[in-house]
Amino acid sequence: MKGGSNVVIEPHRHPGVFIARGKEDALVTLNMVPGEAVYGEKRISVEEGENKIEYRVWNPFRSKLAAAILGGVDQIHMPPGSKVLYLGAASGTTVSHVSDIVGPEGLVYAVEFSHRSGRDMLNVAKKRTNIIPIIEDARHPHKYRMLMGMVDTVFADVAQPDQARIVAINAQHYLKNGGHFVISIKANCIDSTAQPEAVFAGEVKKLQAERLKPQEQLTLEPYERDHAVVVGVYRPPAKNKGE
Amino acid sequence: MDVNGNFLCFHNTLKLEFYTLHPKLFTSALTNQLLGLSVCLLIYLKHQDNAMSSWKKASKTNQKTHRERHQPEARAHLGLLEKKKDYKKRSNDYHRKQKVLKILRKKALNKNPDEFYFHMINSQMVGSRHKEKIKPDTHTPDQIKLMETKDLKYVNYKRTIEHKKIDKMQSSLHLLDSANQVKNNHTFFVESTDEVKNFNLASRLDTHPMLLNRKTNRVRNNDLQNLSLPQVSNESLEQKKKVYNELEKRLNREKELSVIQQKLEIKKFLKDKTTKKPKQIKPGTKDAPLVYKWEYKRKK
Repeated sequence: MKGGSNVVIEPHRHPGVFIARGKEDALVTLNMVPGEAVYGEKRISVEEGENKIEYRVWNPFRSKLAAAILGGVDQIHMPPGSKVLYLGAASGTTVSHVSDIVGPEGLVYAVEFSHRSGRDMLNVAKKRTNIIPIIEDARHPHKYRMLMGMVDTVFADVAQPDQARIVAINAQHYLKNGGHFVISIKANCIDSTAQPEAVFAGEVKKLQAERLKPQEQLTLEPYERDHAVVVGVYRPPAKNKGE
Repeated sequence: MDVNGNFLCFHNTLKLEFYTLHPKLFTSALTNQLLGLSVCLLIYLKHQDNAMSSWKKASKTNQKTHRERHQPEARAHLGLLEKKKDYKKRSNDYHRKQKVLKILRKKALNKNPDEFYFHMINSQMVGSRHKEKIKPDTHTPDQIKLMETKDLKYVNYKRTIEHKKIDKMQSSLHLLDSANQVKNNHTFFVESTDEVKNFNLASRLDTHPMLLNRKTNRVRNNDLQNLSLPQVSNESLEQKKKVYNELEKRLNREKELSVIQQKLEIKKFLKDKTTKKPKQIKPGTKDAPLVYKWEYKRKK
């Protein structure tokens, strides 16, 4: 193309995630099912050599995980091939992008309590074999134990006051030792009267009590107000004291 | 020959010439062949007074045109000399005004002191102009209520449209450049005070120190070495700029509409006579409505 191409795909710090620049200015993931959009999002086709590669735009104004990625989070712990337990999958929009990231080798267990949004998620899972949809209450993880295996990462976006406990219970059941968790916290949902910083600190305390050790915390400006994402490790191996 | 004694003479070459002769001379001219022409055709124009005016006009081409004189140098200090064209203008203006004055004088003499018509009381002088008095339109309270709700609904409707357009645009325009500049809090949890002292952000994130301000994508050191990006075309960058401009305008418009909506809503609530009059807490500004506090009343 004369004078450079219209769209350039830049690989992101996190494998499986890309940034489209040029005419576009967007966070994208590699579409696992080319030719199909999941929730009406824009698709971007790029020619690389002979074959065309299709990417799907991932809206950070809708997805907390996308907002955290653009906010500069250090780790999301979802490399290709990993197994992720996704709590609060809703209609499966972000889940579809996580399924793009972990790729055909990986697995996403998507848990959603609401039947209505669960129905949309089922439709997403029909096209993507690496999503296992679970329409069940995340407060009772034993109810879906027959579908689950051990996972590498737990992602939670449940917006409930007892979010820390929900994550802890699920971690106890399905998260391997040294596995990681990524939690999105909406300050309003935990305590609408307290200062957001105080709410985040309180949640971090609760997590620590459940042996979920936080490693970093990130607020989601400019995409969300009073939201934070906490990333950490579950039951990390004890450090060798001799070191 | 015409009435003025002009006669025409056609040469054998068919060239035309004009001569003005005294009628008495005419006969002698003819007989003596004064002009010495061998063949001469005379055309007698006794009965055609108006005809052949084109000859008259054509004759003027050789005429000298008399121009009006300009101001002589000796009188130059008096300014430009008025020409007829200028005089005509001045004169016409003067006579027109005189005519108007005459009519007005006549009207004043014929004035009836008892004269009355309604326009006298339905109009008034505003400044130096005579203007109609505008009578206030009257509405029933119900009509006013309806009109006000229509206003509010229209603003709501416009705001919804704007909001939807913004949503659609933002779904693929992620403000990556401004996201790099907007501040957010990034906290790292470490185990000891030693770690706090020796904390190095670039090494913790495993990236180049130059990339620390580029929050949206801090590429890892390993990936940096084999990263090669093709050139982006200028046209596409311009296109992007254009779309972002539009987005910015829409965002501003949505903000304005939301302020108007809030102000209209407050107005509507204040009209409610069934509740006690609320107390004003904050005055309105150009980007926020007035804030009132109503007395708390338990509904259930």
